[in-house]
Amino acid sequence: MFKSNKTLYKGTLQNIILKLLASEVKMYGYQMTQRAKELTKGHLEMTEGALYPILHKLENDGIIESEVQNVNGRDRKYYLLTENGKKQQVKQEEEMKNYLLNLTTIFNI
Amino acid sequence: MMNEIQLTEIRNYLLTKKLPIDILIEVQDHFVTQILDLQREENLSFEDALKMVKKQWHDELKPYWKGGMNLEDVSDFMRKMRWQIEKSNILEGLKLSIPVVMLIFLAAFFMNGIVFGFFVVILLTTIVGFALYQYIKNFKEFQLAKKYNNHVLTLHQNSIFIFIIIISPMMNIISSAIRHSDSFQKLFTFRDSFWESLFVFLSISLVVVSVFYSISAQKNYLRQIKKVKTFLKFL
Repeated sequence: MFKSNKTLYKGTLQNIILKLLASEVKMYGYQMTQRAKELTKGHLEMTEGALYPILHKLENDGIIESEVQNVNGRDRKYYLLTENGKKQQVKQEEEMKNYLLNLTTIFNI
Repeated sequence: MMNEIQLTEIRNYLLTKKLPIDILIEVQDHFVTQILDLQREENLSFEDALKMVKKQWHDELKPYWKGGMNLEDVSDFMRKMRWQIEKSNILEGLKLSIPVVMLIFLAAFFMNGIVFGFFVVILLTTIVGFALYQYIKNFKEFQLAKKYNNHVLTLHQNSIFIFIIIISPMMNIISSAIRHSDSFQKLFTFRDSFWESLFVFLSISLVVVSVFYSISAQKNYLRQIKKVKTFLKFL
């Protein structure tokens, strides 16, 4: 899934995708992998095999939607949050921050 | 910028990997952008960059048999895509069927046999009728999957006909609901034979879930097919 510790990051991919979409408005698959890599200075490398199945699941669930645009003669599929997805993202971000805060508290003992 | 010959080489390579077209379009764009980045950052030729990208995707796109009933060779990438897509349609089917099944269950306690029988028949016919209406209304779009039958346009196309398959068990339910309406209603109250009631309850639930599963697949198929239309000229 990721180049760094797979187990630690497993389960957070959905949160990462939603957060990236919330900050960038619309993104395509490769752009997400590169943005995550850039933000974490190369520590977090999403694999394509993990990314695309989740993107399709989120789209089927109505959390994200997509639009195809022609870029340099080929089709590019952009993803963006739906209204429902925006609410979900805020909720999940809050949960994730609480989780991280609790982890920090425990590991700072 | 990539020329048409290079784009065709990538497209043909991905077509050999038997990816559904809606997924192939995304993977193709991923390949192209990744190759262009490699060419720019590492000063590689198109051939070398393509080789590197193919190597990176090799494990994901390599079809193999992983055991099980289906003897088809499938890549890990497609296995994950299929699982996520099937899961979404099944969950959507379950979510939509719960209120309908609960309504049938509760109605059995408040209606007499004949009214209950007709209520179930109308409810089931309406749901299947909706699936059929959707199919007829978008017949041209659904026909595309048949027209391009050498390729899978989207994974959702495999599930849009489930509602037709379940018409036969549904006819049995409808027949019982009309001909033996009193005993049919009693079964839903779980008063006499628990196991028989459970069997009938689960059968009707399965029929309802299958129709909604099919409706969900139809909806997703129609959404995905819009995105593959520009690619059809290459098939």
